[in-house]
Amino acid sequence: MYAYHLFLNIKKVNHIVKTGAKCVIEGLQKAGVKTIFGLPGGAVLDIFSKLYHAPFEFILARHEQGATHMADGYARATGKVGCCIVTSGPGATNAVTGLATAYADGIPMVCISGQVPSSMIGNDAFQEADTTGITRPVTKHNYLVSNVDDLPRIIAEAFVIASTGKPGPVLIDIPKDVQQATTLAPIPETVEIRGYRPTIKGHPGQISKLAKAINKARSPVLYVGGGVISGNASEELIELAHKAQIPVTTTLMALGAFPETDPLALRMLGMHGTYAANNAVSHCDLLISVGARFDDRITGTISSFATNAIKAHIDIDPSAIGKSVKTDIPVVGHVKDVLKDLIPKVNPAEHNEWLKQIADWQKEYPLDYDRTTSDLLPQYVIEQIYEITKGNAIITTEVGQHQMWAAHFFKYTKPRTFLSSGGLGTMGYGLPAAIGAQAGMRDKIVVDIGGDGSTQMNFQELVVAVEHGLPINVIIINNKRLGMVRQWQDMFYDKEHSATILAQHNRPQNEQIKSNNRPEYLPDFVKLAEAHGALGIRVESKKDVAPALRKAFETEGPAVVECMVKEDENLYPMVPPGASLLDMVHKMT
Amino acid sequence: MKHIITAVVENKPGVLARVIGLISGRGYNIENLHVDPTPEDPDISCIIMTVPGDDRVLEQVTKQLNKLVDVIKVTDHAEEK
Repeated sequence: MYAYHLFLNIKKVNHIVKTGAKCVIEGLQKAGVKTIFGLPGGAVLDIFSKLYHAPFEFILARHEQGATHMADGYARATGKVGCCIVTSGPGATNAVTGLATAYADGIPMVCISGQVPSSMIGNDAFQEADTTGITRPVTKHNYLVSNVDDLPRIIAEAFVIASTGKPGPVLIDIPKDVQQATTLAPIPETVEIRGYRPTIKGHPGQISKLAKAINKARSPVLYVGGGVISGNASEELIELAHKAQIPVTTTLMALGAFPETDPLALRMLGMHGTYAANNAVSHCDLLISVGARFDDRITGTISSFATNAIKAHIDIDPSAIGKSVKTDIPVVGHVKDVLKDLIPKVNPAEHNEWLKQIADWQKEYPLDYDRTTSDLLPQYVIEQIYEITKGNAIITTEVGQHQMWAAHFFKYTKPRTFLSSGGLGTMGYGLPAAIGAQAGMRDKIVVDIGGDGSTQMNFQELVVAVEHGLPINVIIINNKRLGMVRQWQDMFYDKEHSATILAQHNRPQNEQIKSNNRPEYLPDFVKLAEAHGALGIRVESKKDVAPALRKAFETEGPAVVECMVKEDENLYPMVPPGASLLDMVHKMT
Repeated sequence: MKHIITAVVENKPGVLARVIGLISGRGYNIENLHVDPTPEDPDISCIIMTVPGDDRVLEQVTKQLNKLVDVIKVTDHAEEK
């Protein structure tokens, strides 16, 4: 009889005892994770051995930075939490740029890193780094798990923290012995974190105050940031703008939050914003910021930013309010909830005079380039992408001139269709982000618009797209320059092109390489694409752009189209750093 | 102006580093620092620190301290010099 009881008990206990590694798998499953990006290593082998049997799609990146950008692109395109797993030491340090990119743009992500065994932490062990120390300023929160009993709770908490409030990346660092240790603790159904309670509902008094200001305003502007996309508040925004006829300008992060084909769309504002948007913001009497943070690339000189306007600010992050610009009507809360409460209080209005003024500004300086030239211009390539896809694509970008042209010459009409590193400005983001986006949205055309400089930064990830049959399209605007930096050298550094000319000709004297072996292309992206198993096409003239793009979009696997554009085309309009939004440069003098 | 900032936090490893990182990362010096578990609940600690610095910047720091997951409550008792 005694023996029988013992047997029963053991059976029961066996059923729920699990290792830390198993807790990770169960926690991820419970959080609804379907796709994981990452790269294995010694300190995460236990988790990977459990992945062997787990029902996830695992996408093996070739560099941890790539894995983090893939998880980030997946999160931006789908709205779900992106997930990646990396090893200790260099695995974790390689992930830092991706975490910082996601942190700067408020992207929900959970990154699991392996760590050397607890007993070896602090001993300068092989592949040891103080991962929680290093990632503390670039994550919303991070954990070093010291006891396996805490692990199930920590995983559940990580997903809640990553996806609520202002979203952001969360890192969980798990020592190898904790992955191997066993626990009885279940994954909790709900989490309760006493120091973490993001405000969701806006204060009714503040919302009424804002509604009154809107009803009184003669020349209001909605200035919209990435919060409207992460808060899924696009519909409410459109309803508010239409009801009260308020023109809408979006930041780079918010492209697509308001259809750019709408007559009320002012398009992007700021350093490379439109003339109409920057004028509207500078002359409005009420500026309603929705999920934006008055970034320095938006405001220009703070002292001359929207000087005549009452400034209202709707944001889920209390620390964003009043950070750089004094706010008259702050509303802390989730944008979707706040807008829903606000709309019924707002009266229908027309603002005809104001809209007429805006239309005049739009006519005065539209976004434009030389369409008559026979030269292949970067803007033309982007416009062709827009026309061929009919605007129905997910665009990712690298960072630089091409990124701004991608913002100017493609009209975004839906949220989560423009994925770009806005805050941190991470070159090398676009290609892996495109892979992540395509992994989450299989039926969409995904296009990475890159420069020749930044596309090289994570080009190795192209094999991942080939491997998984993810038909991303990498369109390289090749001007043989680090173009944006070269443009700043033109404008502010006496045209001294130090370290920005990637081709061997036209380099400064001290950068010339004395060699008879001068390859024509540096690198040859067509060969590089082929070496990775993708289609590679080079385009040298205007007439070849559309056929090449069509071929790329139609081909089954990934494709790289390298467009050899005019080398020294500059990006306009531009507000020089430290100038007012009204001091726009429209052309190089 | 000198600020006396109190932060009620989780009594866990790494929390002090998070709090101090936000202040030192902006180039401000902490002149005085005191940390003790609260008598009512040993899982909670109270950090008291004296930080001289610009009012606006420290207001921002206080808001960001409040955002930290392990920080339960922050109060800034701005003190006359």
